[in-house]
Amino acid sequence: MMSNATGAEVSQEEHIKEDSNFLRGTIVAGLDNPLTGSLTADDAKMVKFHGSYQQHDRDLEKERKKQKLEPLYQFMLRVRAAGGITSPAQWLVLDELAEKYGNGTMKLTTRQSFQFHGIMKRNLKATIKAINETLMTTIATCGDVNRNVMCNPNPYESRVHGEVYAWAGKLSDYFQPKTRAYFEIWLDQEKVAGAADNEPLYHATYLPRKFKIAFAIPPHNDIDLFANDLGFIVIEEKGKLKGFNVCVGGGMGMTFGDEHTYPRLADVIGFIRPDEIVEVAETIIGIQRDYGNRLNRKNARLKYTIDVQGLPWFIAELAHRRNKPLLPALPYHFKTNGDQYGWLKGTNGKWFYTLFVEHGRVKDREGYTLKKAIRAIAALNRGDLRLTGNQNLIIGNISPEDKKDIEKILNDHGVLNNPQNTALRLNSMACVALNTCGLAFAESERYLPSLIDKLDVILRDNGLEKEAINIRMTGCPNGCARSSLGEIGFIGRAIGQYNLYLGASHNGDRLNTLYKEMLSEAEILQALEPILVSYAAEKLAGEHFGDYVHRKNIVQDKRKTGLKQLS
Amino acid sequence: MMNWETGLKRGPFSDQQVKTLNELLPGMDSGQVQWLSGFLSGASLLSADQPLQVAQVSSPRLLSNDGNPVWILYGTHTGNSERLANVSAKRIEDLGIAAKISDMGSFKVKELRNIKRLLIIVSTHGIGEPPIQASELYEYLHSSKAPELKQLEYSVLALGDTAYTQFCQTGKDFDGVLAKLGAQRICERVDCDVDFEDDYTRWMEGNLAAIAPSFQSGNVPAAPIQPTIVGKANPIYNRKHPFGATVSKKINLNGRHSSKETIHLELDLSNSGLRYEPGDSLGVYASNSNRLIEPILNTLHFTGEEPVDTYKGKKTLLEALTTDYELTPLTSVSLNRYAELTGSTRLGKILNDNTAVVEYLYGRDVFDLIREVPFKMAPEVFISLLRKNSPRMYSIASSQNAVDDEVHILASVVRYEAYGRYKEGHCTSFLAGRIDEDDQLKVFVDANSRFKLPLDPDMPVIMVGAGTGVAPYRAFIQQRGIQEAPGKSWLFFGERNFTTDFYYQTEWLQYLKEGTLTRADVAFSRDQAKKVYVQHRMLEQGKELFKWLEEGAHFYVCGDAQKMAKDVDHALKEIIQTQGGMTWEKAEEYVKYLQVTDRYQADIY
Repeated sequence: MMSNATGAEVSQEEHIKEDSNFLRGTIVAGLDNPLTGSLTADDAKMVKFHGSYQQHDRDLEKERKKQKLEPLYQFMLRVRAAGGITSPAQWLVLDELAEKYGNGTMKLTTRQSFQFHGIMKRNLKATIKAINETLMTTIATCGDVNRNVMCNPNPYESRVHGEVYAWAGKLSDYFQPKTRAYFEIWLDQEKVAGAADNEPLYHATYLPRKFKIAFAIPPHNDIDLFANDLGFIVIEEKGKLKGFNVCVGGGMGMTFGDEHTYPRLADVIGFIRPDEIVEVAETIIGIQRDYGNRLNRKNARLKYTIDVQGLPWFIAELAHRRNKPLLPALPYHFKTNGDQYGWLKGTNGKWFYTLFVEHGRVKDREGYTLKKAIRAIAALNRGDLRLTGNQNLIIGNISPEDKKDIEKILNDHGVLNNPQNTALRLNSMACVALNTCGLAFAESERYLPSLIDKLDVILRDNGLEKEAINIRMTGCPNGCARSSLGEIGFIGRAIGQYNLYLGASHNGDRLNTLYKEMLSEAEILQALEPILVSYAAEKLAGEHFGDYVHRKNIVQDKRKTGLKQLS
Repeated sequence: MMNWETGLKRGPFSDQQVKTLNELLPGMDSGQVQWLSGFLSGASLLSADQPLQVAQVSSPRLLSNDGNPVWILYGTHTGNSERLANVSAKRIEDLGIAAKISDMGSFKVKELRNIKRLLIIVSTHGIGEPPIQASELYEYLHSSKAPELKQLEYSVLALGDTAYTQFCQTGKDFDGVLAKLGAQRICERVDCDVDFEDDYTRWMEGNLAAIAPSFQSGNVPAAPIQPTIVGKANPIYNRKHPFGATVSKKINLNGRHSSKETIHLELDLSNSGLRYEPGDSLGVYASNSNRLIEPILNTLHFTGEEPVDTYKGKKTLLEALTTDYELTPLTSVSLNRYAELTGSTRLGKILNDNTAVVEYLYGRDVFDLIREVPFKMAPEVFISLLRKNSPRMYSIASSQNAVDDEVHILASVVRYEAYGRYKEGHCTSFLAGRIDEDDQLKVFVDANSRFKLPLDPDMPVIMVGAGTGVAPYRAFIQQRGIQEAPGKSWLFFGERNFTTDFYYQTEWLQYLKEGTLTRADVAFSRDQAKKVYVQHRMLEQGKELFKWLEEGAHFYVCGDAQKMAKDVDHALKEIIQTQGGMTWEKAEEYVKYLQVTDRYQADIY
C-alpha cells in the first residue's frame, strides 16, 4: 500500500523504494560485481539514501565510449555534520580519505556537509566504514528523507547558539531512517534476528522527495533559511531562547521549460516554544509524507504540496494534527546571508576565524596550499572546525594565545590575505557541476572563478571592489548553490551559456529574476557592465546591488511573494 | 562424442528432418563437417537477405507490414525520447502491427538494411550534438560505411529546445542523412520544443495514418529484394601477395593514465575475396621507422640513396631498409653473420655460449650491434646481414559474419628502454605510431584450424584470455551471437587495471545483458595489493568450471605463452583434480583427453 492519502498512481521511484526492503535493494550484490564500476539503475537510486550519488567523469564520456570502455563511474559521498561542526581529529580522517579514495580534494557544501568525489565502487565501502569509525555518518545525506540539519555555525553575537546547535543535532538524529540496511551493508553489522525493519515516520516508501531543515539566528541568515522545506528562526528574549518562528515551503529547484516548477521561499507561519519543536517538525514531515506528490517527482517538494493545497489548508492541517494552532509569529530581522571573514570573538570569549574557501573546494594549488594549511591547523588539535552555509570554514573556539599559531600556518600556506580574494569572490558560490555532476548543463565551480576575474576588472574600474555583491552560479536549475538567491545569479543552459538573473536581496528573503537568457561570457560581461557602472554612480548609501536593480526597474519581480499557485 | 540427435532436436526441424540429418552427419569426419558448416553459414547469409517467408505472407496480421515490424529507435539524454518510443510502440501494436524498439546505443547498425519502416525519436544535446548514446549510429550514418537504404521508409521526431540556436539539430541531421542514403519519408519530420506532447501526437498520428491504411487495403507485399551475390573469387591474396587493406578505424582501447597502449584496428577487406573464421589470425607487414633507420645510416656513413639489389629487386638502400628488412629485434642469424664478417673476438666468444647468445640478443636491435662492434661495409653487405621483413600475426578479433568486409585486430604496443636507447616493437610501434585511419596495411589471412568454436552450437565454451588474448573471444562471441547459438559461454579476462584496461568492456556487458555471453570473471592484477590473475579466478570458480567441463565445454586459452598459459594449464588440472576427486595423473589424462578431442585449444604467443 502506498501511503499517499489520495491513493493515486505513483511514479516508478516509489515502487523502487517500496521494493527495496527498507533501502537495501541489491546494493550488496552490485558492489560485488567486478564487471562494472556502476550499480544497477535502481540501486543507484537506493544508494542515495546511504549518502552517495553514482556519477561518472563527463569529461571522459565520449572518449571512453569510443574506447569501448564504460563511463568512468565514480561515487560522490556526502558526510553529514549537523550544524556543520567537526573536531580536528575528524577533519584529519576526512582529509586523508580524500587522498586515499577520493580525487584528493573535499568539497564543503552549501548545506554544511562534506563531499568526496571520485570514489571508485570498489573503495566505497572502505570509505564509508572509515567515516563511521570517526563517529560521522553518510546516512540520509541524500535521498527522499530529511537531510543534514543546518544551523548558523557562529556563536558570536548570540548566547543561545549552543542551545540552538543542540536542537539542530537532535532533529538531525531524530529524523534519520531507522532501517538497519546502512549498518548491514557498509558496517558489516549482523542482521538482527527476527527484528523487522520499521520506519514509524517514513514508512516503506519514505518521503516523496528530499526534505531540508535549517535554523537561523538573526540577524544572520548565512544558511539561507528560506530555501529550506522547514526553517526555524530563533527568537531570543534577554539572552535566552524563547522559541522559534516556523517557516515552511522553501526550495530552490526548477526545471527549464516546465512552468509548474519554480524556486520558492518559505513562508513564516507561526511561532512555537522550544519544547514543541520535535513534535512540530515530525507533524510537518508527516503531512508532506501523506500529501506530497508521489507521481511526479518534479512537483514533489513540500513547496508544491503547499501551493497545490494552499497555505491556509496547510496551516489548518498542521493545527488539526496537533490539536492546536501555532502561536503568531514574532518579529525578527535578518541583515545578511553572507559570511563575515576573519577573526570574531564569540560570546564565550573564544575566537573564530572565518576562512574563505572558494566554492568550498578544499585543495592545494601552487602558492595557495589550502588543504595542507587546514590539515596543519587540525593537527594542532585546538578548538573545532565549522562549515558555513556559504561553503566556507570557521576555525572555531580558539584561545586568544593560539591565534598567532593559526595565522602563521595560514600565512605560510599563502592563504592569509590573498589579494585575489576580492569582495565579489568572497561573496561567490558555485555548485560542483562538470565534470562529475550528472545534472549539469554547463560548468560552474570550474568556471566561475575566471568569470569573477573579469568582473573584478569592471568593479575595480568603478570603485566597487569592496562592495559585497553576492554572486552565485549553478550548472543546472536544481539550485545546489542557491543561484536563485544571488544578487547576481547564473544558471547554466549549455556549455558556455547561462541565464542571468538579478535582484535577490542581500539577506536571502527575495529571489532574483530572470534578466537575460542564453548568454555567452562576452554577452554576460556586456550585459552586466552598464548596470554595474550605473550602480557605482547612482547607488544610495548602503544600498545593495540586489535592491538597486529593483529600484531602477532593471528587473521586476512579478512573483511579489515568490508564490505561484499551481492550476 | 557429441550427441547429434539431441542437438538437432533442439533446432527448428521436424522429426523426419532430424532423422534424415542424423543418418548423415555422425558419419562425417571433422573436415567434412567443418566444410559443410561453412557452406551452410554462407548459404544462410544469402537467404537472410530475403525478408519474406511463406508463413509470414499468409499471416493477415502482418500482411500490411511486409512481415516486418516497425522499428523505433530512440536516442535520449533526459529520457523523454525513451518514453515516447514506448508509447509509440504501444500505439503501433494496438493496430495489430508488430513494433520493435531499441535505444540507439545498443542498436546493431548491421540491422539497418533489414528494416523496412523506422521511426526515429531523438533529442539534441548541448549545442547541436547528438546524445552520447546516439553518437555511434549518428557517426555511422554520416560515414563512408553507411549503407544504401533504398528499402527504408522512416520518419523523425526531433526533440529540442528553441532556446538553443541549433534547435533540434540532431533530428534534422538524422532526417537529412537517411534521405541522402535513399530512404523515403513516411511523413515529414516534426521538430518539438520542450513542450513536445502535442507535436508528438501530430507526428504519431501522421505515421499511423500512413502505416494503417495499407494494412486495411491488404496490399500485396513489396517484391523481395534480390540478394546480391558477391563473386566468391579464390583469394588471390596471401602471405606472398598481401592485400592492401585500408584502416577504417584505429582506437587505443586503454583509458587515460593506463600503463598500457593497446590498439584496436578495423581494416577494410572489400574486394579482397579474403575470408576468415573466428580463431584465425591476420598477418600484418610493418615498415621501419626513420628514427631507427637514420642513426644506422649515419653510423655506417650511408646516404640512403645507394642502389641495392634486394630479394624484391633493385631499390635504394633507404627503401629497402624501410619496407624489406627488419632492424629490430636482433636475430641470432644476423649476429652470426656479423661475427663472421667482422671477425670480432667478442662476438665469437658470445656465440660459443648459448646462454650468452640469448642474453646478448635480449633487448638489442641491429643498431646496438653495429654500434658496439663498428665495421665498415658496403650497403649490400649490410642488408645481407638482415632478416627479411616478415609478417606479425594477430588473432582476429571479429567474426566476418558480424562485420562483413572488415577484419578487426588488437595489438599491444611494445615500448621499453634498453642499452641506453628507447626501443619499440617492430610491428606494434608501426600500428601505433606510423599508421593512421585511411592508410593502407599489407595483410593476409592465416587460418588456424586449431582454435575454433565447437561445431555444435549447443556446446558450452570457456574462454580464458589475458591482455590481447581476449581478441579471438570477441570473434567467437560475435559469431555465436549471429548464430544465436544456445550454448553457454564463459569469459575469463585479465589485465592490469579495471578502469583503463578492460578491453571491449561495453561490448561484453552488452553481450551479458543479451545472454550471448553467459558469464564473465575478471582479474585486474594491479587494482589491489595482492596480484590477482585469471588462473586465480578459475580456481575460485573451480566447482562451476568443472561442471561445465563435464557438460562438454570446450576450453580455450589465448595470450602469453611464457607464463599465463602455463599457469592456466596448471589451474585447470588443479580444478579437475580437486573437483573430480582424482589423482594428479588422472587429472592430466583428463586434460589430455580434452586436447585430443579438440576441447582444449590454445592460441598462445
